[in-house]
Amino acid sequence: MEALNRISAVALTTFRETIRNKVLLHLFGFAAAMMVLGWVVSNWSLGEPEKIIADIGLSVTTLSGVAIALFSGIVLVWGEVEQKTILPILAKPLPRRDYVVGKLVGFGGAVSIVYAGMNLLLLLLLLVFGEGITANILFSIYLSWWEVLIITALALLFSSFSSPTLSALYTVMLFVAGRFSEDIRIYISDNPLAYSRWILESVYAIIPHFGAFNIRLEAVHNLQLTSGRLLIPSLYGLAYLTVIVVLTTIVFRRRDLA
Amino acid sequence: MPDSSAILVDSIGKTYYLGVRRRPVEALRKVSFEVRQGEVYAFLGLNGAGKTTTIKMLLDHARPSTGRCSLFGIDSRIPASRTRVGYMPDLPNFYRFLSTTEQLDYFGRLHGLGKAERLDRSRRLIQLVGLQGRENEPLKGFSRGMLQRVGLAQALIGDPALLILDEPLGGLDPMGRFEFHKIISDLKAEGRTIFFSSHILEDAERVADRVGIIHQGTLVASGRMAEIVMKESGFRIEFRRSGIDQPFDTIVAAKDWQVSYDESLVTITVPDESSLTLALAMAVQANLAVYTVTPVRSTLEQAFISELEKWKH
Repeated sequence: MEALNRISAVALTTFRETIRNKVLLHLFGFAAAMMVLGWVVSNWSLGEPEKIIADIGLSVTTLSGVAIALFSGIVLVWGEVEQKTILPILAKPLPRRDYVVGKLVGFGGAVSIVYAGMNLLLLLLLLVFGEGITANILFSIYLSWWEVLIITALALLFSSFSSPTLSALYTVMLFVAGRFSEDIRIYISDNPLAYSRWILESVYAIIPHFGAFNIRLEAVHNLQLTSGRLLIPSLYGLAYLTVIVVLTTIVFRRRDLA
Repeated sequence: MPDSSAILVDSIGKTYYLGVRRRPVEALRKVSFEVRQGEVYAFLGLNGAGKTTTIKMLLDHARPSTGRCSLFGIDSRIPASRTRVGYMPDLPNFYRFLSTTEQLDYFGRLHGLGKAERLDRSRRLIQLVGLQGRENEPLKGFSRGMLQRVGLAQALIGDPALLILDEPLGGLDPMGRFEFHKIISDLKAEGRTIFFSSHILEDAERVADRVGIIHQGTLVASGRMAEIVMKESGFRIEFRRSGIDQPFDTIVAAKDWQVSYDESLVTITVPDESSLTLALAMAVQANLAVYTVTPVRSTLEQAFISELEKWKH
């Protein structure tokens, strides 16, 4: 119970501090502008403009959510250590584990609010100019939210031990690798060399499989979705997040604060 | 371990490894000292001497490479050791978009205080540090002195038995320093233990019961303020000259006392009372008239410089 109180205190403060920072508002404005641009482009297309609005809109909200998580997340712990705001916090009877979990919950919450705001704007666009709002569109938004959360956690992990530049590099590398994880799997099955197969299988096991969260095609074309298509990625996302939080705690617990 | 220890530092060392080649740099070397409950302990040293590094070990901001330290008998690596501790960092910095009230509420929650208690303590502390009227402003517009006031308030929110203050008077103007001295005296009167680092010796001389002097990562002196200062104290005796006092001069020169001459007076500085008695007896034998005897009390600054000089040799 005490741990829960401490975590919620860190989470609430992190949420407040993040949400009041105008950088988030600027990123939100950028994402909104991109969505409006998507709507303009859709009017010039030869195909079905309603589907293009949905397709571009879902991509823009996901990528903007990832960008916000990335750019704000990579300075989250690093910035606290550099600016020494962390010193009085960790001088309280607060285990570093609770600090890490609270940070993730608070920052993840702030990113989620911005992500929700962007998607509300998208839904409004779809309602006015698109084919309306389907359950698949909502499911797609939901699964992409897991992708944003995993990027948030990865940025937090890297910011707990490295500079923003390196953290950004590592997170982007994992994001790109995660987006192409299916290609790695296909390559493994075609690759006859045992030693490189072992390496690739290890890489495939470690990197996040963002393809699991991508149901944009089904959403745009309103294709049939099974419950497993939603449940399995949700469980996978939760497990992946848990592993990252544990890793961040282990790394951060050993760190000397400069 | 003595029950009366608020802080016990047992032979801690800290080595950092810098650069790609992991060059070892010893920031602390076998530092040991004890701070008893209820006393004010000044931890003195030049910039880069190891004061902040020692404080980091106490608060588990960094782990010692060797040795261990404890707060109220609990290993400092355990978060519970900080339950009765308040800490104010050197150059305190806080979340820029939160107000003083929100910060204090946050720190109160980390101490496990209930809402009513947090509100009550915040209100009193805001008054104590003189931030009433500005408590709801975000801290991004606060000066260094004001941030230090917030720093003191957050250090006190958990009603700590031990206060650890890192260079608490560094950024304060004369009025701020005066107020701060008063607050420290009041906190001491309430029975709290205060451990503060400083390179401003005047502050230590005014408020500390005991002093530790650290230099280049080594604790070169530790003890009661009076003991540290007395090491550099003594007596100054002035004699009237009555001509050529050759035998007396020779004996005095052999004693390694400080001697100076002018036309009518011989001035001798002796280190302690036994030397004073001896010098007076010798003066009587040599038929010298004692003009004045003055106790010489050195300042902490002189003692500090002397300790560092001794350490160099």
